[in-house]
Amino acid sequence: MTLRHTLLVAVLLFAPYRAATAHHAFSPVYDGSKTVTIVGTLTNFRLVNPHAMMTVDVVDKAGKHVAWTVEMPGLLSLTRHGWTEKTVSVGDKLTISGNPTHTGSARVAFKRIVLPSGKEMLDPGEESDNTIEQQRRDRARQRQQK
Amino acid sequence: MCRVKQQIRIAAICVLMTGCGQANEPAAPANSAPRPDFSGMWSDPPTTAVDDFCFMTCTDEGIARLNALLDDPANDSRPYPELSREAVRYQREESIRPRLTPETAKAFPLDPADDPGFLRCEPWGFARQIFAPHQLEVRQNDDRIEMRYAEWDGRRTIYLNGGGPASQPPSPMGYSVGRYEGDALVVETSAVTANLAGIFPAWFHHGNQLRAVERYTRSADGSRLELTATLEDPQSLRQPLQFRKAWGWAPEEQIFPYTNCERPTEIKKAGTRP
Repeated sequence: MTLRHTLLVAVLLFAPYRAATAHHAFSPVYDGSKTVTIVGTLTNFRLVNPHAMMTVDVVDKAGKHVAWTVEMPGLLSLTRHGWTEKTVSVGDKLTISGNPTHTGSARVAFKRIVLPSGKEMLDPGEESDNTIEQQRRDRARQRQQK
Repeated sequence: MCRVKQQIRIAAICVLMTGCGQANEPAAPANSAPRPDFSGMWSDPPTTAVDDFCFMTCTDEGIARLNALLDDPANDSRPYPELSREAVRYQREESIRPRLTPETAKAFPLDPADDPGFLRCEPWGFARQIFAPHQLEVRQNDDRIEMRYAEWDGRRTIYLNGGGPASQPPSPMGYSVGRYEGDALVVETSAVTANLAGIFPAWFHHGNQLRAVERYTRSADGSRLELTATLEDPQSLRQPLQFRKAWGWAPEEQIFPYTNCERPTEIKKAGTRP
């Protein structure tokens, strides 16, 4: 496991109750301590409130097509972080990481996505965490310099 | 000197004729002072540790704990999410729980799997809605204020100057009357049907005698809307409980349709409490 992966796991394990899930807690459905990554073809994207949704066609190891649901933050949170209805298109091949369900069903809570262009889009909550973490470090550094 | 005498003469004539200047105009009503302006669109404030912590409400003790953790050199190597979780725990156990009645404390905090908003797409009641994150649109009129929240597209009316119906049957959003006190808008709410108070992860059941006093102020530079809300309820609270919440000025934002709530098809109850 690389340092980057270690940091990712640490962030996911200790992430606070996230702003992006204001509508309801994710914990009854998703296991915040685990992550899964799926690679598939987008078949549907709805940029709506309270949660945007994607459906992705994933071919499993047995060659079977499985329709995965990707639950995302709401329209406001996503648009604030650069999402539009044109960010992804049906037919796009996407790599999506997120929290799996407790039951192991074909459903995931979005954490990050890699677009066909290679551009990576993060969960808005994770972006906020990164911002605040930087502020925390700055605050500690300023205190140490006094 | 001549000018002074002339002014005195004019004043005397005015008094006799009762028709000069403002001397005979109706007394200014008590609320004629410029009212504070809260109108417009508000939304989540810029990202900071405290505002993130208060995203779904917070208490003064919780904020103090978070700041103490951030200022403690012993925590310099601990990431923010870890410190935030510790402050959340402290707030829940040391700030909120001691104010709950024993019966309410037993079930506190509620299992998020029991959230009716999650299970049945049931819109939030008053004591959750007023702390809702995202946009809050305020429209001020002479006799009422209309507030609209992005979350659930929740709406409420605050009656001013004794206006509005004499009484109101209990409802999820209750009956609110408001007044201006200097730079503040003070809102008193009652007639709220029993529901949930606060927002995950620090939420509890309140009874039908809940009363709340909200106090809204605008920061000196106008960029923030600050709320302190004091809740009282004999069924769930041993003593008043005060929450805080803030919004940032966001005139460019809009409230989007809120029409795609979906009931969960799978849930895990218990064990998912924070």
